[in-house]
Amino acid sequence: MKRTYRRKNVIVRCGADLFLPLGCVFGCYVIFHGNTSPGGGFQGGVLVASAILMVFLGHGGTGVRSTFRARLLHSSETIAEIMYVLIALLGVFTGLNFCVNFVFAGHEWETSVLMNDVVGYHVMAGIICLLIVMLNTLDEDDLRKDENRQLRSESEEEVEEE
Amino acid sequence: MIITNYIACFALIVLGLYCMVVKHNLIKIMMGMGLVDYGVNLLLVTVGFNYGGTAPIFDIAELTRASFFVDPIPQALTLTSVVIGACTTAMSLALGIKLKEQYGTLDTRKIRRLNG
Amino acid sequence: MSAFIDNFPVLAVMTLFVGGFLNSLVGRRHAILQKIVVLVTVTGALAMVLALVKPVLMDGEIITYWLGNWEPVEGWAIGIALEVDALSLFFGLIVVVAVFVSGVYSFTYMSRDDSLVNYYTLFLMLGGSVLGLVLSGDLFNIFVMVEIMTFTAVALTAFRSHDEGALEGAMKYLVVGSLGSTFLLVGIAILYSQLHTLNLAQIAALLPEQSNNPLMGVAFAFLFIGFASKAFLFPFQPLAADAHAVAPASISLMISGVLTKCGVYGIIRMCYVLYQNMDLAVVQYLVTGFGAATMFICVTMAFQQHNFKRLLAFHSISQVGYVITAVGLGTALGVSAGLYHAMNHTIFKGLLFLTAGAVQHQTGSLDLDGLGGLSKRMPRTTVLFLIGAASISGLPPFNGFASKWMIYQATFRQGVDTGNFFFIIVCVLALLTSVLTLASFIKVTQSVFFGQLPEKYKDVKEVPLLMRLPMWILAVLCVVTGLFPTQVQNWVLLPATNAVFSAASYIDAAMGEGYAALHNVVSSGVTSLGVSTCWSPLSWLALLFCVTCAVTIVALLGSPDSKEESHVSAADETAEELDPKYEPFFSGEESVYSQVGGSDLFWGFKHSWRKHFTFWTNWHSGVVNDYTLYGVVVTAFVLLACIFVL
Repeated sequence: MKRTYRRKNVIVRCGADLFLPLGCVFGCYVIFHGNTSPGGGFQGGVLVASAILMVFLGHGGTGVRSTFRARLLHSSETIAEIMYVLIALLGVFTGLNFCVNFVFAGHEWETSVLMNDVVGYHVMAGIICLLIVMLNTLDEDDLRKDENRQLRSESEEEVEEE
Repeated sequence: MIITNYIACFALIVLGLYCMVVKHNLIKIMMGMGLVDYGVNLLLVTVGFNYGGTAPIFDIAELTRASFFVDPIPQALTLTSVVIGACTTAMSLALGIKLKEQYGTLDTRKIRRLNG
Repeated sequence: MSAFIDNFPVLAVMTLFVGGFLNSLVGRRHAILQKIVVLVTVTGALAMVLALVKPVLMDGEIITYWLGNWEPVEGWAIGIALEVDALSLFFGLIVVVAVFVSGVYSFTYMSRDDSLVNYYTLFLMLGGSVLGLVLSGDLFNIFVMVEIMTFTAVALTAFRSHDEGALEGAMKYLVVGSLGSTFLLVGIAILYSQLHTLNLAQIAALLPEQSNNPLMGVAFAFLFIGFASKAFLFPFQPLAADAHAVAPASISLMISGVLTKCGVYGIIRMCYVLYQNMDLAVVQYLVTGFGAATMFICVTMAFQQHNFKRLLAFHSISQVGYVITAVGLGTALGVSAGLYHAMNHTIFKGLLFLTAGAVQHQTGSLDLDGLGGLSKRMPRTTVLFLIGAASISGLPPFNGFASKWMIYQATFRQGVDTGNFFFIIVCVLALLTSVLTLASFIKVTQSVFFGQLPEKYKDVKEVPLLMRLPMWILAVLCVVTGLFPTQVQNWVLLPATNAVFSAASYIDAAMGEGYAALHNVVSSGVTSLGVSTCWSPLSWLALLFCVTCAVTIVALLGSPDSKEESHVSAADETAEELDPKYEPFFSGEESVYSQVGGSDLFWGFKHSWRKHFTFWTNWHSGVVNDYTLYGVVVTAFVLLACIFVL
């Protein structure tokens, strides 16, 4: 299927490419320091998930589709949920209670850190999934608008893609 | 002044309820639900606020009987409540989109096939 | 270290949740694997909760389980607890049995729908959240579980979004249901601001000291309305009707059998254990009044429905009204009657919804006016439906009779003991509601299963075995719990009622021995329910049989005379008298098609009560703003009552 779309402005593209890793790193930082600072899995996960908006801004819906695979993200969201319960269950297997901190209890490295990370992973996957669904509804309108614009002025920079 | 917080959350809840009762547009009803949620969140945060308290982040070693901080539990509750509110909004918007497709309107006076 | 069985409550909840997640991971490609996961999950949860019966229900232990071993420090509960006493376990048993039955039923019932992965995931999460709610010992946990429950129920209501009204019902449920949840959260926030704890046991210990704090009354009002909206009590009943009518039948079972029980559980837990204020007359009037209003209004609404499942939905809420009425009495007999009826309600209402689902599955219709004569094509389903209908109408020897009998007894005795006329009226209202229930089930039986079979349903088949099996389980439970009421009372109801009335041991189990005495919470528990002994379902069945025989004989003996009389009178008077329009019961236009439609039976009764019926029909306007307004107005009313009187 042949599809035409207008490439984004070079400044937007470069800006998105520049800030994408920064956003991801900052989100990961918030996730991994969730046990000692404000924030944690949920907030960090949302920050990482905002990367998809960068990709969308810079490369449009096609970019999003070629970068992320919704099915894989959906599975990884589920895997994160199951991992959370499994980590919590480790307490039961060691003879203590559910959700117990048994790894180096009392130190900085605890089960809660692992749980925090898993929550971050889960929120990231979940929100990217959500955003993909929402962007997919946007994207068609975007394309149609682009096609109209293309009809009006042929002079703009255009790329043809498979 | 902590009393303004209580007045504000009361006003938010009442405004939200007014929106939900009086407005017939489904989107406005959703906004009303959001307002009620924000009011309750504000109430929760206000409940846990101690005037002059610090952020409740301590190492075990730093924590003494003299340390004075705001109550962290309502903040955790608020966080949960915010997430739940976001879910409510997302879900009602999704239902609203489908309703618009099926009924062709968002007027609640016309979305009343189930009655009586 | 605690015994391993203490882990079972949390494991049962987590089994359901993990089953849901696993299902969405592996069930997308393999339909068989998906069913295996669901079956293993629901069976596992059932087995784990059944394993708790021995220590909790029989030996009277209270299992307190602190997540992450965060035990109370210096008399303050800092962790999240799961606390399982006999009351929690009673409702937990109801939940897991309903989830099991509904899950097995879904295998065949939902086989024609697509995206079943989403269905089963949401379904298992719904079961897990409700189980978590009843086993939880933490107020905020209860709120979170209520929210999960509401969202999954809304999503499942809208699952068949191509059906007319599915989205609409879900939308109304979401808007007004989230209003109820918000009120619940406001109540929790106010309680926390005064008591600085969220643990149920500690709240129960600290609350009685604060009895003259007006904010406690405010919190009570908000919590009551929050739980009432989850049990679909009086101003919230339109939601239940809308949601039930459009949801798949297996989900209707969950909504009526499980979700409403959460509200009932919340009200019992709040009034008896947290506030311990059921000896106040005001609270008794409030709770009983809500229950009585719900049961009567819903049955009048049910009387004039044309949709099979919508009718069942109104009856369902009406029966919940019975439960709340009995619970609000504040006596041991009342509470045990309420709990008994709550259990029976799940069983017989589940059975009725499943038969409705079977009819829908085979004919594709739920319209009472269009269906008819299905007993010739679906005889087994008809028998099952008759068992359910007899149970809900309170005919011996089924379980509805036993529990309704206890409710009449409890209300009447309360009225006699206190000399208060209000409870006598409630008792009469309960009897009247039961009569109306029987009447409208005669209508359903007549218009769906008997009468003439329409042409288009000539080749309808009986439902497959996998769908009949859950119905048979429920039908057998109906008969068993109805035939052996004494055993049910001694083994199940007495421990649960005892748990309701022993707040002190609930507190001590969680907060350490002596904590309740420290805060002057004393409770005695109950040792006997005080049921009158002169009632046995079998003797009542014999009496019913004798009366029926007598009536039949009299009718047969009297019939020639009456026939002659009618001939004579018909000869004398105008032909108009013969017109079936003016006959007292089987009135309506005479047509070629002899099936009595749902609207035609009891035409005369409806006509003479038309003002009442029209008022309540108009009241259920279908506009979501109105429903919100009713909720807000009733909340304001309860709030004022609680502030000024409590």
